[in-house]
Amino acid sequence: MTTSNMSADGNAVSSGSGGTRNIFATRWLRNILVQTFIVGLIVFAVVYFVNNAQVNLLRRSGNFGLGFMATPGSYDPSPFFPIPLKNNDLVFRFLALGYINTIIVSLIGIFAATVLGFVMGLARLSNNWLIARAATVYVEILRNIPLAVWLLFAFALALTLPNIVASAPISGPLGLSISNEKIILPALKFGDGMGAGTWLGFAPFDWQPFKTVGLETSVMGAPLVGLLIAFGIGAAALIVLNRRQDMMRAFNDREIDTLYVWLGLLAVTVVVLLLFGANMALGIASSVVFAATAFYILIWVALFLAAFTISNRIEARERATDAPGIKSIGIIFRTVAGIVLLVYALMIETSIPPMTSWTMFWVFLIGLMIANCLATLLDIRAQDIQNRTGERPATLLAKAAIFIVVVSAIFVVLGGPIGVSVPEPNKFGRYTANSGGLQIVNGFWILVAALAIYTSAFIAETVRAGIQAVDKGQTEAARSVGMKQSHITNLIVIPQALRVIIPPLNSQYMNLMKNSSLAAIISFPEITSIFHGTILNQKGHAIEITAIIMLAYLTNSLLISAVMNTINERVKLVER
Amino acid sequence: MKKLAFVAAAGAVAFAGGVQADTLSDTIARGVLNCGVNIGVPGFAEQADDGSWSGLDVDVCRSVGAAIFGDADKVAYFPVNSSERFNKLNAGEYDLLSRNTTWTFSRDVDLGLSFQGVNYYDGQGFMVPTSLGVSSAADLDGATVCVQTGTTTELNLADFFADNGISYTPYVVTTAAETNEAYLAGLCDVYTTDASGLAANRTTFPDPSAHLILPEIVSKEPLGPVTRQGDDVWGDIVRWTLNAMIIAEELGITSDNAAAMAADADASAGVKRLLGVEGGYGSMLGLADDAFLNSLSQVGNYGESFARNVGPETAVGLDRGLNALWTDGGILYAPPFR
Repeated sequence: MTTSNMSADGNAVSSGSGGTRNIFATRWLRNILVQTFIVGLIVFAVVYFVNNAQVNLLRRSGNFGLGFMATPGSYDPSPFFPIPLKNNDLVFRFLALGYINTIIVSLIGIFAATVLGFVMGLARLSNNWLIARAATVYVEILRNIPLAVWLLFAFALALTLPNIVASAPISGPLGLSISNEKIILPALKFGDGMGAGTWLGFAPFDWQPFKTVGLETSVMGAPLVGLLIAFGIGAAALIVLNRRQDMMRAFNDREIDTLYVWLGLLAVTVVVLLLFGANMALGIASSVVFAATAFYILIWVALFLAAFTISNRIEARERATDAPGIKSIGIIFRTVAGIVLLVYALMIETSIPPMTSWTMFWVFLIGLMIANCLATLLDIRAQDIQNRTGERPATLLAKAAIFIVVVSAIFVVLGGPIGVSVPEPNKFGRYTANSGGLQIVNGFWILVAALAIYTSAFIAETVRAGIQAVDKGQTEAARSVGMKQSHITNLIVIPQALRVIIPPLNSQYMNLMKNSSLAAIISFPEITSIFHGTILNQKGHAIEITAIIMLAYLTNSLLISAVMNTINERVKLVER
Repeated sequence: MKKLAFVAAAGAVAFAGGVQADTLSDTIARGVLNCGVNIGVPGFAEQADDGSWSGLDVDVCRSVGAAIFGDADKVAYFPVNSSERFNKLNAGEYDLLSRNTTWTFSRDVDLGLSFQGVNYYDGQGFMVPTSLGVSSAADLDGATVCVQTGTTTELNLADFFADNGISYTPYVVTTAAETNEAYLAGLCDVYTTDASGLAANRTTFPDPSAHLILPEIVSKEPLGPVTRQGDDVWGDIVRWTLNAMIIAEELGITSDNAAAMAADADASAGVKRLLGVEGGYGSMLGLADDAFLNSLSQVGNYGESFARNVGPETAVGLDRGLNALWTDGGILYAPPFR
């Protein structure tokens, strides 16, 4: 109704312009009129819908607004979150943790789907008849059946596994068991083991930021979230700084002042501290958590600085020698992101250990990163030598030695603080959050596996298309100069194929992220089932909640796009 | 100027379109009552193989259908799960929700709903496998509990365990069928929902005797039909159709004798008022005067409906208990029909 009147309005404008042709024939005026009209239309639509919602909600005496976000969630969700979530937590926290679950599932799914998709895409082009046909069957079966059906099928199948209470689960050593409920594994537990935290009578970490044992577990996750935020902002800052440096170099061949780096990192620190200050004011986190968070952030600031310095050094070297780049930043961030995500994934269903354990864990992680930096320097040296002599020295043993020495050193300094947590069943013969060990609920791995495998079929086709888009002459040329097959694939075909593969890959990633909302049908709590399902039903506020959900998925989509566009910039044909 | 006028006109038309029409006229014009019911709880709402619906909650829909159209079969059923029942009611997909829905403050006030009485006084209970060796809810410390999401049950569950200082692990699922599935697959030790629902679901288990309903009732769950807030006429029709079922039981009017009693000149004044012989109460609601004669002769009184769907003779096997008439020691009490 509205639309038809609107188009009548549009006609009225254009027919009315007949009399004053001279003025309306001017392009700029016409443009302004058309644009004003369109903007007006949009503004009218927004005002109308908001007003309509308000009027009708008032009529039904529903109260429109976000006040419900600060009320308790009132129910206990399944404990499948990286951080405990209880009925007296605020709705906002339910939203945040549902969102975190969505992100965890999406990221692990995207990673697995990419690996699987590339393997299957290559397999479809294999010269081996059996492999190629098997890959074809894989792709066709997966992509022709809806994901929801796969999920229900997999979940129903998992329900037929032996039950952990009624019958003996499939079990292995050290408490490993597979049942129709979850997979349970023994886990490494930091902070346990021989003489945790003390060494030769000296407790190196017996000072304030670490003295947080005994805090309620519900606030334990706060520093971790802080770290993730710091990590995200820091990574973004680093990318921006790198870009800026590229620009400056292009213009006047001058290095960026390290002052900018410091300013950027200072900004990160301030933002994260403000975030946690706000959290503290809201009573979500205590001052101890605040102090601990500040400490962690300082460590990260130092780490980013180190990463930046090293990457600068490498780039300088690359330019001096004109050697193929060693993507140092990539290596470092891949490592960190990989480990952080892994840890996060492992935390599902495991109890959060006391703060001291986390401290030790992070110290270990930092040690690993330092080792990684040293190993990268070793690579640079190897590259130097290769450039000078043509012979690349073996680095594998030296790298392994670096990792072993660094990790052992930290292990000794901390007093060997790693034990094994073997899960123990409770009196009902069941494993809960307090049972220890590593517990992966079936809903989680089925969701991730289904998303990854399903999307991998589409990615496989994208990869195949990309590879087939590379001219046959390229392969033949490579073969004629005597390159071996793995080099032809990795150095000639894939880099060119990526130009075709990356853009459609972007939408596959977004699909995967959005498909994670199907988790509701197998009772795994993520943002849609928690927030749009239960909270909406308990609290009402359908419009607000739906808007927030849309915003969350939009944000994710835009983030994925931003990352993929950056990668696309890297791989696309460089025009000079 | 012309443009502005068009915009204003479009806006006015659109706003006028948003005004809600009254539900009774819409329903009569449609020729069928749209009723939201449970996807399937034995005794309360279940669909037979031939597609027909039956159950205590379904009988409320049928009674209202009979009161409006004189035909209890002029009802379109909309099976709906717990988490979308209110949205769909508010969105107008159906006009009456009769789906074991608990009357609570926040639903009545904050969600913009109107509860039109109680057709089953229930309470939340716990069911465990007898093999668990538990005889009281107090022994459930550390247990894993299956619960359906979006229900008052999950709110009560959190309260009960917190109040008693015992811990539990929730296992939250979306539909009643999934709850059954999860409980039977052994994903949880305990099944919690309204005691009537436990009894009803137990009848569908392979071995009902292997499951024990614990004695504790941990909440008040008055279940009743729900309408949208703001259409009082429609609310009155639903409320008084339900009341008529209860009053009919008090007066001894059944589906078998309703027609005979209406024709009986010596019937009591109360019977005559209810069956539309005198007083014209039906037309006060905008219905035919014999509206409740129709609903009672086609669906029956509350006691009949109870005995037919969930009573001791059925597989569900519930006692009247609280749901007996106030004159029989229960709390079922309808306001006077005059």
